[in-house]
Amino acid sequence: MLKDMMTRFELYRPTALADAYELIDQFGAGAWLMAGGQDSLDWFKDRAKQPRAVIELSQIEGMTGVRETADGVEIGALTTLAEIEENALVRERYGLLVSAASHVASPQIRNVGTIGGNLCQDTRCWYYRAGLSCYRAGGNICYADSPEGMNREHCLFGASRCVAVSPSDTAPALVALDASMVVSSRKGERVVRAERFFVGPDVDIQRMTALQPGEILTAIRIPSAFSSANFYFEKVAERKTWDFALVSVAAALRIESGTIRDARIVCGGVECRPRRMRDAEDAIRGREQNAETAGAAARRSAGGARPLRYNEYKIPLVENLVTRAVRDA
Amino acid sequence: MTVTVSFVLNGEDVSVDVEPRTLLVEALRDRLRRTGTHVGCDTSQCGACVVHVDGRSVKSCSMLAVQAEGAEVVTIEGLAKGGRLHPMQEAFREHHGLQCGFCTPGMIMSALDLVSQNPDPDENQIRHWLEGNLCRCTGYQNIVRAIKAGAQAMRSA
Amino acid sequence: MANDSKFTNQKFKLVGTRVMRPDGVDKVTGRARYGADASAPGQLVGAILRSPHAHATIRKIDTQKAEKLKGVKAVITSADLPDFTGGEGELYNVLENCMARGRALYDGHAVAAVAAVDAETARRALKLIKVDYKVLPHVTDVDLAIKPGAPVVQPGVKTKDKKAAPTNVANVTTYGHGDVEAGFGKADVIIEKSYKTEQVHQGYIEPHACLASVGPDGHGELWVTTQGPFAYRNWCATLLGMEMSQLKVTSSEIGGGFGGKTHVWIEPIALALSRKANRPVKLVMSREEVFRASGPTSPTSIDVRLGATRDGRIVAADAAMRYGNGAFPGIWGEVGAMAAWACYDIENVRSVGYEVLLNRPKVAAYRAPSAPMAAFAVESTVTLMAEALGMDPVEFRLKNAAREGTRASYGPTYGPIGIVPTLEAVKKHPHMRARLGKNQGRGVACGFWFNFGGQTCADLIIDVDGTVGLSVGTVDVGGARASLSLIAAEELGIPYEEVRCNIADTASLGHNDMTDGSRGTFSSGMATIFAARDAIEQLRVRAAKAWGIDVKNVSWKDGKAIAKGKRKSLTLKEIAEASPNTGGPISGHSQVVADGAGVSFASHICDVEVDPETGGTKVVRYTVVQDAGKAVHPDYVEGQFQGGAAQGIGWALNEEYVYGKDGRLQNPGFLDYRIPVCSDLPFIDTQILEIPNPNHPYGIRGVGETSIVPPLAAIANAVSDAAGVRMTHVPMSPPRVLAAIKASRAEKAPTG
Repeated sequence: MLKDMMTRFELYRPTALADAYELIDQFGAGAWLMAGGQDSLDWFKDRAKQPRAVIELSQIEGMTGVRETADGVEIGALTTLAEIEENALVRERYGLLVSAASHVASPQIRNVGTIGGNLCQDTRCWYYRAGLSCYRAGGNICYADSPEGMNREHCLFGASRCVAVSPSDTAPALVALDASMVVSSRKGERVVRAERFFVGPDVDIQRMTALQPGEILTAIRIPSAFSSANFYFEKVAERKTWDFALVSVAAALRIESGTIRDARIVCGGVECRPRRMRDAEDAIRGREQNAETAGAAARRSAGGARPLRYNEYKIPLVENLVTRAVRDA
Repeated sequence: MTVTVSFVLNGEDVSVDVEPRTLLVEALRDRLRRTGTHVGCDTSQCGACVVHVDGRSVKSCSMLAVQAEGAEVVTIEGLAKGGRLHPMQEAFREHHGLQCGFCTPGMIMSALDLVSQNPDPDENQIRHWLEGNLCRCTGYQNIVRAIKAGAQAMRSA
Repeated sequence: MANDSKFTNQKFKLVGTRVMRPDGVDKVTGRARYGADASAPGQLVGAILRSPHAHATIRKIDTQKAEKLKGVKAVITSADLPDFTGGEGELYNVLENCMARGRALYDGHAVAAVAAVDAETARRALKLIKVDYKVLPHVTDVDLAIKPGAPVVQPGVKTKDKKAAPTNVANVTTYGHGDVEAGFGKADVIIEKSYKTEQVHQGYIEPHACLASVGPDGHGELWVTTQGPFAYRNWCATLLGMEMSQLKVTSSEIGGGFGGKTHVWIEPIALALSRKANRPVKLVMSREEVFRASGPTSPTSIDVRLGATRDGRIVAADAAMRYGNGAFPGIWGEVGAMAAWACYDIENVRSVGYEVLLNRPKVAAYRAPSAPMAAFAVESTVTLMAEALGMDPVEFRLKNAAREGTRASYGPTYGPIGIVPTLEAVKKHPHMRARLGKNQGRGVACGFWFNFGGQTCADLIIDVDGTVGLSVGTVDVGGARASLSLIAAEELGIPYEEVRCNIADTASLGHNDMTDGSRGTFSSGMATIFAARDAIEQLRVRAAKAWGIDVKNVSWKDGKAIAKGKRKSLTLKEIAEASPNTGGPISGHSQVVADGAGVSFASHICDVEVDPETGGTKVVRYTVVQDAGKAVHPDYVEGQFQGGAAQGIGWALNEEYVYGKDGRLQNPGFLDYRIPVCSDLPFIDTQILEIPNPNHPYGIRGVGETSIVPPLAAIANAVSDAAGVRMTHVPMSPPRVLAAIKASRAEKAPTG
């Protein structure tokens, strides 16, 4: 399975959502929505995905940029990660997202890659990406969870036949900020909370988001609840940069005179979707922000973890990252 | 099935027939014969293929040629003007910012994007900006030095 | 005196200055042409079908459908590469590695190839080739491969006598002297430790690429990215049954090699395709092919035993060194065994190298091949011993370091060498006194490399305008054209800018060994000096003729012929301009076996910061001290020091081949094979020492390789200092370090 030239496809560059819906209808399962293309082209080059028609969304009006709303901001799904890093409003209020976005890949990728694409990218499980017929690809085996499986990068939580993890850096940040996803289709618009937007294999083993066929993620809304709160983002990877997270943490804490009033702590790289550390959050609400509180959060962050053969190291990593998030946010 | 894509390449209008799946780097190297843009991996990691599209640095292996329609594309061949090296090229040459030279075109194109946003980058900013450009020969030290010097030359130009 | 290689201790005017490289403008403007940048009229595109299995018998290959596909001009299998090598030995291994012959020995082993009018047709043709495999058991781990009952990679290989059962140990070599067991008997402290290093790749950014053309007259040309056009020519011609003179190989600009381009992979296939199709064929590896099917370095497993007396003297040393060779026997364990103890003066010393066969790609050289792993094991243990004795690790090394007259563990007796001076320099270096912060630690390690000389040929042409063309046959990988031009200009006494150095093709110059073993500047430098002296002889003859005096009365100084009693001198330019009428063209030539490459030593200092909560290790400061003999172009010497250290840092912390249990490489790309990016590396400080090599007129030693030898151990020693855990397995990636920290805390915690 050597890298290969991409198979032929037809390319469409609709200028309006309505045209995109039309194309999706026309090509059905043969259609592939592409934003910045940084994940899509990888799939095509590997020939693991061979769409008949690629619908490239960049020409659609109104899907880029950051707008202030009555309750926070709305970010067009085709806004590049670089634009988010540079946007004054986001920088001022949602430093957590800026920090997460700046940890994605490398500058040239962020110049092209979009926030929508980053949220909707597929898992990095190398068995799946090699094009093997695993559960996620419609088959009936999980190679990573087999006795011979190499699963250092796989999940601690929420396994259900598949043990893949969510690779996005921005997804945990948006869950921590309690963002919502604006999902559009021919039928209209629906708004899904970030926490429900990302789904595990128990809900749908072949998809990582709640997007249904015919639906397009058009925008992300971030409420003001955690605007300018205390934030913490850290990503641990094999290599410090240009790598996917082994474990990441994104935390938003509302702190008043040293006391944690509210907190949302989310880890990436440990489950098929960003994992909210609800027990840890509960353990620290109303407590003083200090090392002791941080330790309490850590002790309640890895409960229920079920390590695989090669990923037990992720348990102390989760505990240590949650400690830091609570202590240093 | 081919389509014609037209863009401005190093200041000249070009049109080239490509397939929808043709990558920008394939169009540049194989069709337009600009071989200064190198391919080290074709999977968006190495950065040897970095070019500018509308002023921003992108990896030309991770963009379809069709997406450059109407854009202003600049490759390493487009930097020297009137027989004179661009100050950043001159800096790489003068400060030994290269050994084998294979990563150099991508490094220079990345560096110029950085300097266009940040005319006076410090060492830390340069090192982080270059995360998408691999060099295996130099340990990056002279590259960082060259970019600092190039940025300074551009400021005083 | 023309071919006298003795060190002359002359004062230099140009050598040692930091001039601009002659290839700089081409490389910053995109004009330089690399392996994939050449094209020929009517060229076809080649593509290779590779085994998806780690180990399999190939029962049958059906190429009929592929041949019938429109646009396909040639399909080849091993049947198109008849054996001209005699059926065994290294050349046969090269042949079988280039194209499987009845058996696939690793994931990525080439089994068939096509040439077609375009890439898509070639790819489609590959898919139409049907290969009937019988999958066999495989082994990819060094320790598992030597266990009884392990799948045998090469049934023809028997370790000792021909009657023995085949094993995966292709060869065992022992080096050393004294009585090791008696030595351990005298030791007060003995430390035993086992180490493991994972397989890494040279990681040159330019993939292998070539353009091959063989005509119906049997004459061929090959444009290729290589470290050795002559070696490539000889291999390719032999494998294809061509006469060597019928094949001209031209080296392109090379986008990094580090040893990986000292071996043919796709080139014989491209030539065979071209011969069959009767058209030029361009063949370029994808990055994935580079990882799966070129020549990474050995994975190793090494046991070290070290004994010392309480006063800090090493009295016995022993090492068992198992080096994975990939699917074909090599000499990698032997080289490791030779290098292991080379830094020290030890009375009773032994090292045993094992060549272990694996279902992995055929191992090739990687910068000081085999030495970094040996140094990782030895230098980690040396620091452990210093700690056990309560001695400073630098003092302990100094006390046991090899000196002039020391008998090296691998045989020879050293001349003037640089290990003690590098350690003394380390001791005095401000880096050693810099304060360490929280979670930071410091490590020191030494390294050794042999350096090579070998067959070398150079031509130096004096053009009629007085400028000079220098043709050498060693490929320029790191700025050699500048260094060699400096040497020619120095010898002739003319400005650097008036010399243009050119890398000759194989039809234009006599044989040159490859640019490997850090031999480029040493050996071509020597040949350049001799060629310049040869030219000077002729310049003197012409001057004598002009003056009508005996040539022995004419001498050469500062670019001019001078003679006693002649107030006027004749410049090189004047002699050159007159040359058409004084005897015709003037040139110098040299062909030598450059002996006496001086051994090279380095000592490195490394500070790391280990994050105990994530296992992440950051190198915060790094210093390289190395003996260069004579730094011809100090910037490029520093560049070699820094580049080697950077590769060593990647090896120590992040890089590794990950094989799945299915025997397939899991990470054949730069995303999961993690070479250092700019922000991963610190400022790498360098200090050049110059202990002249007595066997080179300018005192030059090779400088390119030694810098990759100490980093693995220097970093491991620093991590140990910072985090209190002794890492015996590289890479020291965050999961491994975190697990080690956790384990060490569990160990220290009170039980019960």
